[in-house]
Amino acid sequence: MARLIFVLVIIFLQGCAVQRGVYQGKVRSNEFPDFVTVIVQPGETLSSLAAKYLDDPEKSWVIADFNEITSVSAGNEIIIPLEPFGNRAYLSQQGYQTVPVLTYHNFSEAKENLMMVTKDNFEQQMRYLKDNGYTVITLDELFDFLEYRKQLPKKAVVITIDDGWQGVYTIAYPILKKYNYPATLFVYTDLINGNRKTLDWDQVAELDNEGIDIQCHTKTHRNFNKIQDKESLQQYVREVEGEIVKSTRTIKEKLNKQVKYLAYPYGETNNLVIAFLQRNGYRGAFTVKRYSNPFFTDHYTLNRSMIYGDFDLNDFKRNLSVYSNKALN
Amino acid sequence: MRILSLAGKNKRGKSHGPEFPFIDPRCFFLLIFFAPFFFAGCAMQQHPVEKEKEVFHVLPDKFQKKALDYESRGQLLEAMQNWWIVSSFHPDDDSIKERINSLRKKCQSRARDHFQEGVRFYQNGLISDARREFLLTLTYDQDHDQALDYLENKLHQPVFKTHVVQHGDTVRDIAEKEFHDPNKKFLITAFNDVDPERELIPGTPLQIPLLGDNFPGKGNFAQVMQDKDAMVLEPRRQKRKVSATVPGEKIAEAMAMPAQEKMSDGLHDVENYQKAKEYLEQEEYRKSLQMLLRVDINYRDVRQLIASTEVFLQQEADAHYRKGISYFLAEDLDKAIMEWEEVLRLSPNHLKARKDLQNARKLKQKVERY
Repeated sequence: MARLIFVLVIIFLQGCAVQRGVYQGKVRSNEFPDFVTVIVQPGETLSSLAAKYLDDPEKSWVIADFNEITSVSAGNEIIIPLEPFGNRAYLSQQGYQTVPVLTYHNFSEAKENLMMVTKDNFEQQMRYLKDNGYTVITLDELFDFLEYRKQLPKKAVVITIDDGWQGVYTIAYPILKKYNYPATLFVYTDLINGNRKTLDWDQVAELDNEGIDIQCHTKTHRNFNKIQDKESLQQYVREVEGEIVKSTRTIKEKLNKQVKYLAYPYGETNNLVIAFLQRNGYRGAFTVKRYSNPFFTDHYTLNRSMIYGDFDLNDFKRNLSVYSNKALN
Repeated sequence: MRILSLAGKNKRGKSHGPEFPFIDPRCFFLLIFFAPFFFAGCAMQQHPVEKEKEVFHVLPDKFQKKALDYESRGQLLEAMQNWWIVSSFHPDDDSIKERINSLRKKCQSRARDHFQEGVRFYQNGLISDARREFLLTLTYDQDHDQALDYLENKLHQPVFKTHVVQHGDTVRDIAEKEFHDPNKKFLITAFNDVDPERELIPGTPLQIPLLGDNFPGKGNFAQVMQDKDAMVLEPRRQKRKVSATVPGEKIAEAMAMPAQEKMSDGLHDVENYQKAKEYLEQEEYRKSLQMLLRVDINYRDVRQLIASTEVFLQQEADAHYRKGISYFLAEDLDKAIMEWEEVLRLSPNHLKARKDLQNARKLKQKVERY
């Protein structure tokens, strides 16, 4: 008898104690499973909340963007969306999100020219991105956005580097690693010969393993819109195909990697080149038109902004447009 | 461990029927006695959402304000999402649910209207208007697959067309039909796994590349070849010299340039050319000319663009010159001077404007003196 009473009391108390959805530090709404309401506890940060509720500390931007905040403190009431929220490209009658793609070529300790950004300037530019809430994303993430499949941070930016000069390995890579920024290196395969100024394939492979995505910049860096002396149309077609097919094959052989993005040398392209890219399974390609990219940009004529060696920080900032307020109405 | 006994097992895991409390009639009585109290006690708990309302002091009002704000700006989709959040704090408030339903209907209706309008524009070849309408469709229904299909695929220039092989077709025939030149059969074999020497199977779809307006050798490849200087990257210091240079010298100079410098010049040409074209579209002829003068004279159609821009500038300058004359005759010296100054800004070598401007300034000084 006593045992029965004891059991019933225990059950009763336990049953009553388990309030639906309420647990330490947060209240979950079962009726609306796509978000969690949270009161921030001491010591919690956007990253720790993202790790706890979104299983990924890198997704702190989801909480920041949704609540329009840049940090949290104890006692703050916030909502953590568990599903994508709002319009996927921040599309409204007032405008839409655009993603800038930055392009570098070479880097140096101190020597500055148009194609060479100094170590200090590059460091300053990367720090600016960090201090001002930009999130550096990968090309795959960019393409998910372009296909209107994935939401990006409001201030998303892509970093790309062209050619395959030694400065990428010695100067840019350590800085990118320090900030934990992903980047893409578009190599033109004839340049990867390991001379004093250029990368060799071991270095390229190392970069690829360390999170610098290696993609294609053709074989010889030929300008696709300039016809060679005495070149017939048939020769031109064969050359264009060779530029794409041979470089794609070389990267596959050297890195065991199927490339899917290409940066046009000099940013120049035409329909024939695009046709060859599509035939060879490329997902998209980049010009050097100095604009940011809305999600509805043609995937084979994407825009990129070149960052020159003589740019000061204000010049750099002008290339970071993340929203177009072109009203649709 | 005590609770385990509810499953009818003792510590050793063996079943002991008589020990199972529910079998005991006394226990059964107690169970009947406790059950209503047990369930009533749990049911009387405060509703968890009510609890949330108490716990969260800021969120309900904050998101209601956001929802109203979005509504006032016409962002109905975002408004609806924010009302959902508000609704979670007020689950019994039917007015919020009605509001959400009303917004949902409005979104569906507007998405439908904008999509239809977009299709109409598309069919009439008004691509930028169509794009705007499809984007507006997505602002009301972001999962509108058809609008997305237009934006991602149909509004961009296609690079292929499909040719279905007819009975008796050869690659040469198709090249003749598609490119008006049977010798361009290599354009077909490059994109299709077909043997030009063998008969084609009727019904086979072939991909035919559409060379488009941006193709460097469109129409007449030989014409491009005549302009072979364009293939050499002229050193930057030579850029503004329009005078002819011996191609051999250019090649030697270009060869001597370090690879990066050549690249830099090529990239600058592309960028400045693009800017020049933009200014031209905006009818900013002077700025366009300034950009064009920085580009390799042999790059694309720069030579022709410079010539046509200079004509535009001259026409604009002449218009301002005539306006200046009108003001002068109307004895409005200030406005006449402004117009002629504009003429000289557009066309610094406009001799008539220079002379008339000097006279007008002198006249103005005299008038002011007396």
